[in-house]
Amino acid sequence: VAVVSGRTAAFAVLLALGGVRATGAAPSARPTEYEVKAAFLYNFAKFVEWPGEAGSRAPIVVGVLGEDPFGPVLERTIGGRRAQERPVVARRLTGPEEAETAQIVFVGSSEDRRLQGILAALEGHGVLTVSEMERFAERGGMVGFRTEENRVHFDVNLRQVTRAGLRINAQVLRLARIVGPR
Amino acid sequence: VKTPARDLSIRKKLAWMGMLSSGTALLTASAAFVAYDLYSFRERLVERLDVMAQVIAYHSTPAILFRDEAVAAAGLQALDARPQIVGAVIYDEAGGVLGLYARPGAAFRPPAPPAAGSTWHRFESDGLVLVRPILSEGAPVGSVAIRSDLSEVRRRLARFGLIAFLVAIPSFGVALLISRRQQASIAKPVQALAGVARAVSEDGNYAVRAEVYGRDELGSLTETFNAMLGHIQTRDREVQEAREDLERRVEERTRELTTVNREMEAFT
Repeated sequence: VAVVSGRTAAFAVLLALGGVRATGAAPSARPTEYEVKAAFLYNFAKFVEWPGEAGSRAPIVVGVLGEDPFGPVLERTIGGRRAQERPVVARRLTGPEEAETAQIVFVGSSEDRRLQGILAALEGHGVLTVSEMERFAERGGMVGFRTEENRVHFDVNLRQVTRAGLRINAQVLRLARIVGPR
Repeated sequence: VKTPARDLSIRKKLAWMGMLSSGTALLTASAAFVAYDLYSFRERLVERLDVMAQVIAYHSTPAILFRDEAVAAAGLQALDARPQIVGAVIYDEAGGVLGLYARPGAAFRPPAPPAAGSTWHRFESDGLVLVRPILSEGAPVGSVAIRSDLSEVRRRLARFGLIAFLVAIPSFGVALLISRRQQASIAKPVQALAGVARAVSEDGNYAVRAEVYGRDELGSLTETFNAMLGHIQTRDREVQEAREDLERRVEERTRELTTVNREMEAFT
């Protein structure tokens, strides 16, 4: 059932995106799916604490691994903004080795089959993994986007977050559906 | 028949004057006190609403950023514990309503979406509206608006009215007591003077004197009055003596004439 509803949701997203692209969204119009998701990625940069980076002034790198669904939206949303007094930059990543240097990694749906390998490679590097893949948080990721009724929600696998030494702001966790073992 | 004010006795006039002046003083003092208190209370009301708005703004920042309407509304639900809060709204950056709280049974119309980052409050006839920005990383990402009714102000005003009334009664009593004692210093000499004047006028007795109570204007009036009585008494005695003298002389002349008459009768 979950798979079917997930596919329906993804289809709805594609339809919505197609519609928006075709008509050319005005800046003041309701934000698109990926504008919302890009904004969420930026928001995580505000509310996550990385191990050993307290007081750091180095940029918070938001990397995209695999196929990039954002296009120019991510750069437009994040570019030039700051979080926790650090600049936030968007970057396309070529592979898990490069992903280790990022603070937030969005894993594209194209990496579905390689997911376990990617997660294993990122383990111990203090990277917040985010994806819109089906059941991403249940499968060992940290934050999984979920779209219901045209709204973006997110699941958090707290055990994976804690194992990586990350801390997500408690008020943000209140907004999430917590999944996986505690 | 009602006595006109100018025909009232001095005692009564003095009592009225005392009551009137103490009443006016009491009224002015309480009015000034109430005005000041209402002013400072309204300031405190704004301060309190400001604290509430800032707490809400702080706690609803994630809800705004992650567009979670349910959590935004749940954050406002805490206002239920404050019966004077009529309603509250959380606006997102574009001015859309993300969360809404309206007290059950209260007619709450959310104010128009405020300009991003704006901070203001406004007293209306039936309430106080306060707007504060919701900030993230120093930039406005939305606003919170709270509306409070003014029932507290009204309750406070009513309580003040009662206190002023309760203070007025004993203070009027005390004022009456004090004015009773004070008015004697004026009423007593006047009454004494009036009594003596009546005695003089009715009995023609110029020997009486009015008692002098003090060295004020009434005292000097009484002294002058007594001096006038003395003059009149002297004049009266002189007139009396002159009359007696005249009578005696008439009598003497009459006697002389009688004697002369008798002598002349004897010759003829």
